Amino acid sequence: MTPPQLEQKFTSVITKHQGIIHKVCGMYCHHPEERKDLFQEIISQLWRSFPSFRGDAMVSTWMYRVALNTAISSFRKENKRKDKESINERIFQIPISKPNEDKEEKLKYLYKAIGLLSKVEKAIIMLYLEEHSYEEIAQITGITKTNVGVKINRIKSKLQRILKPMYNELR
Amino acid sequence: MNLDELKTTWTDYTSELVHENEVAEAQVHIMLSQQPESIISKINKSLLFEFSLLFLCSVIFLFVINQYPENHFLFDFSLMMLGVCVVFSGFFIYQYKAINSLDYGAENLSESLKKSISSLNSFIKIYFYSNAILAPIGFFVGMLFSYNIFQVESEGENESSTPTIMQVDEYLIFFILAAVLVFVFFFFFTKIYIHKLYGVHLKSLKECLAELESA
Repeated sequence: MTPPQLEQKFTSVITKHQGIIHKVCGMYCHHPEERKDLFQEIISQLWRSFPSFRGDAMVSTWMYRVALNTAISSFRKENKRKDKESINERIFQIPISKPNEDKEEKLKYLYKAIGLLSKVEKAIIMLYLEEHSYEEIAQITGITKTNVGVKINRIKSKLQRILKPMYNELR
Repeated sequence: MNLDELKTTWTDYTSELVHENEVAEAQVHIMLSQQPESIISKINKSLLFEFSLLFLCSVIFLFVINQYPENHFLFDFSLMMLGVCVVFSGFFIYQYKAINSLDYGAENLSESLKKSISSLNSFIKIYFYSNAILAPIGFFVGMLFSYNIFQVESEGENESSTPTIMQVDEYLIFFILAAVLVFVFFFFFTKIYIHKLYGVHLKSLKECLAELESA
């Protein structure tokens, strides 16, 4: 395959499955500029890895691996900016086509809950929310299925603890 | 809000996020032509800078070897320093290859973190030694060379014009003391500088790996 053909194949794969990258960026970055930077970094890493991707694994598994590895391993000065912004400031940056108060409230809580998770917890809960099986999560993260189960239960309890007072607030 | 609601909210949020930020193939092509600011590009820049510095030093030592073949002190010392430069250049090339061969798609998260930590660790070591040790050595050698050249040239013109303020041994002690001071300064400066540049990131990677592997 010639380099232009390879690039063409790559761009078509990326545009078809770009949702995965956007979701990872949405999980790890709150600021639109940071999301944009991470998106580009993931694209760059995917391109570097593309020649070695022979289709043995599913495209989505390969993309999640690269995207999550990049998001966790990349170093961005997000903390300073994040600390300065309040949750309310961040909520205005979330694209909402039809503003809905209840929906905004839920998104605000979703952000707050996500913000309290560690990088590893974010990766695992994201794969869980995306309906991946324990086996797939184990494959992507490199831990055992049992450990995936233990971690998911722990994150669920943590989220329950965070979300419970918010649920009461909503009622 | 319970976990099921969280799932629904997540799905709503991500579907809107994907819809709002959708990119076309042409945009992906543009992104491929640009170099994003990542930790790897930052390390590459540092390696390139160090490598250029070593190359420049090697050129200077080659010049000295070529210019003073009959001065045994300068010739032997330059040859030795050239060897040091070649060895460190080899380390930098190896490091560059190791860091740029990291393939996030071929490894799972745990393996990838281990490789990143190991690469960053060895890069930090090389970077530290090259700055904290080579800099004072270079400083010492530079002073010794200029003194030696000055002395040889003075002897050639007029033997009585050899520096008289200090004796040779005193000069040597002064050079060594200055080199020690430079070493102390560079040791702590490099340590703080490296920690600021990569230490926080390395710590974060180690924490992620420890958390991932904990049962």
